[in-house]
Amino acid sequence: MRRQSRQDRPRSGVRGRQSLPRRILGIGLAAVLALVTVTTAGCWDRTEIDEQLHILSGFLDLEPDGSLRLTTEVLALGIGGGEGGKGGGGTHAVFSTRGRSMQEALWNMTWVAEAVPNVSHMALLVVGEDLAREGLRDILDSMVQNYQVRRSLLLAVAPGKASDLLATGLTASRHSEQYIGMLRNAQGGAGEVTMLQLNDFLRALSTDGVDPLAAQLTILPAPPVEHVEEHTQGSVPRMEGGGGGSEGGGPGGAPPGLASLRGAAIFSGDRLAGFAESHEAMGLTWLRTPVRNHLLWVPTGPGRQGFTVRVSASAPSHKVHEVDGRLHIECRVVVECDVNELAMPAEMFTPQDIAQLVTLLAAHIEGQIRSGVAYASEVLGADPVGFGRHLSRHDPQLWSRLRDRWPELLRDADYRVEVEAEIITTGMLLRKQLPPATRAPGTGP
Amino acid sequence: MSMFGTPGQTPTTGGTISNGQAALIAIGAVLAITIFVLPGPPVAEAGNDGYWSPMLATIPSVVQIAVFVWLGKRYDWQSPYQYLPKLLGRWLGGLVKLLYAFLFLFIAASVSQEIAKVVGAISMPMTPPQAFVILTVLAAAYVAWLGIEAFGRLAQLILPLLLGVLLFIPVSLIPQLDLGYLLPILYEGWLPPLRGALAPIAMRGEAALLLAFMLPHLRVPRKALRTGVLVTCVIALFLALNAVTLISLLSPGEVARLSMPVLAAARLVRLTRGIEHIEFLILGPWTIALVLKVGLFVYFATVGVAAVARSQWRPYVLPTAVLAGALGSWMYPNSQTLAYVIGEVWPAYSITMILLLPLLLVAVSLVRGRPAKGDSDGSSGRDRAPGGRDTAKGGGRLRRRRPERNGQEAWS
Repeated sequence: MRRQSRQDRPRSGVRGRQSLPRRILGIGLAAVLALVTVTTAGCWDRTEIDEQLHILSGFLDLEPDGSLRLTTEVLALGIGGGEGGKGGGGTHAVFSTRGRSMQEALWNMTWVAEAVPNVSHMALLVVGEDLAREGLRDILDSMVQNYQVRRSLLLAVAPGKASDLLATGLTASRHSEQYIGMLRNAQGGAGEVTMLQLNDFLRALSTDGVDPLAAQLTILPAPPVEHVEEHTQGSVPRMEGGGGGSEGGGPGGAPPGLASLRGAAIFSGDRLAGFAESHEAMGLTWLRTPVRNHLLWVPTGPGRQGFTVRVSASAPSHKVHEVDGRLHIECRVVVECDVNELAMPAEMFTPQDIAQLVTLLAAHIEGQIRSGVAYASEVLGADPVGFGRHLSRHDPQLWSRLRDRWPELLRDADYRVEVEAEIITTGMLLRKQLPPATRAPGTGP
Repeated sequence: MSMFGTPGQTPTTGGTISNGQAALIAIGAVLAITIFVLPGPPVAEAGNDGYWSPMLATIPSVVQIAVFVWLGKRYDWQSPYQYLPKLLGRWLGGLVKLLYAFLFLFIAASVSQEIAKVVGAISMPMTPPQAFVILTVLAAAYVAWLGIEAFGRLAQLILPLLLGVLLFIPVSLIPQLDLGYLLPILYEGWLPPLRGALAPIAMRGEAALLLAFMLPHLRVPRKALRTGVLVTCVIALFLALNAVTLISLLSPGEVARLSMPVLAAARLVRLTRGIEHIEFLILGPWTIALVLKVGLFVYFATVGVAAVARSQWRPYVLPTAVLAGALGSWMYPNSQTLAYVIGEVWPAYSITMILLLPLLLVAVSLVRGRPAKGDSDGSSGRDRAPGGRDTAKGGGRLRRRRPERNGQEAWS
């Protein structure tokens, strides 16, 4: 074989001695890169990071004159606090501005906070009731039109004014991060209503046959003690210290309430139709989405009689069809759970006891579902479960015939609810501890 | 030594690339834009069936590639710049060469604006778009000046990263997907997805165009058709996966009205607390892929101009790149115009230049009969790619390079 001559070898730009122009070019490029790296560290788009207003959460309300009030909690990185700002010196600050539109209100924050707003880290948007009833389509469009806004931000509706939540210590200092973290956990189904992202809301808004639904962020009465026990998920006890943006104390020096995630805000189109309480909201959640890691108290009698299960998994499904001109809706939910506590007269976890618990659990869930569906369709005239969407996907011909009368048709529909519950474990106990006098003979200690 | 090329002493010359490198170049060039732009128009036409459009576009894409490969094979694996004068005559062939050169310039101009649009949107909204255009054009001009081998190596480095990121996004979004949005399947028949396939056909025609002009550089040109089919299938797979992900994640209505739905999707990725906002991961390989694309189209535009002018091609690189940047800024004063041209004008332009015109060339070639040996100047297109091995007929045997005029490829 002839040895390959030097001339025949394919040449490459990276081999051999480099020419002088290339070397000069390489050194020049390296120098420019080094210069850029040194001079732009900590800089974001020609603006130093600590000169920006990093908005963490926004609270949007309708003013009496029709303008929008945007109250924001921001990271206080070198912000002294303008006229609209409160609580300088902490890690967070609160600013409030008005504008004829969302973007104008945001822009006005530049003058109040003396910094450029940056909404790319905004994680929570709470809309006040009045504004939600007027319709959110334009507001949300202006949000997602902004390049910085992420569709992953959590959306909630507050009864009354959204900015009132700030007085609860919701966003005080470090608790804001914790609170938003807790809300994010609620996305997994720990709450009565799964915390929804802006994307979920917009997705429902752009889809035929389903109405959007959002979490309800409300204020509970002030706790008598610092760590209060409330029969709701997600309430955050207000703790002292931190020096954030809250003013501290409610009207008249009374302690502020608790911000709590409970119930649901049900929309008809982009307008708020009404709020559902916990029982109904949970019923809708059973049908809307798989529930995981949800603690459910099942009452079985007066007072504190009942039992608690932790739902490990659920699988909802439903069918919609027409029989003799009437809409028939079959809802089915399969629930797997573990018994966590038992406060009822059941002695042991025998198969009969478990069967009884399963029956009670299924009846409770069925009641929640029936209440939720009835409230949404009959009272609010909305379809947050998406029965219409199901019809449009699985029977488009029927949907095209019925869509003009949707969701009014749901009021007269015939609902059939089936809950298949299964208890997987009962924890570490095989039987309850009962007083000696009540023990049956021969049942052991 | 001339900075513009003395054979054997320039950093790189026209050179040879493997078929795999050519495939990576074509995939990268097409996906870099289509993955950002494409889901919108097909979904606007076909709704939840929009994911069928990129798959349906595979058939015309294969036809486009087959037509160019057939023409190339008929003229000894030459580039269209080489065989057009033989096929159409000096003047008409020169005119068509100029048309193709302008097509490359037009695409380079459009793509250079995309970088400004996306990078500006994601991270630097306050930076003037001209800054991105200038940087892109300079980088692209440098890569183009290095020649085709540099594109091959760049594609080898970047494409695995880009494809990895494009796979990572759908996988990480699985928990948020609602595949029910894909239902009902083809309820309104095939017509809406076929209408939606127009934009994918137009954009994927770029792969056929690139392969046609890379033919003389291919190490194994007789396998060009196989390479092209592989390219178009991989592109179809990624585009369909992208469309399915976006429809299931955002809903068809949202996909149709967003200017960059894939960016909205990337911003929804959240692995755990603290691992989010990862859209910047896309920016790195994607920006380089766009630079590769701009550079590649500037390169072929330059070669086209040089072929018409019958001179060296390297002196034209920088002016062509600058012209591309300026043309883009002039043609697209705002993003709406860019979206309009890509959605409405480009399909007709692309299909005319990349499907209808080549079919016409095939007809002319069939009428004129098989070219005589002398028509290709006694040498194949393979021989014109300096530094290359002819394995098409020689079975990998090294062949001495032919002397080239002025130290450059004799393109005309």
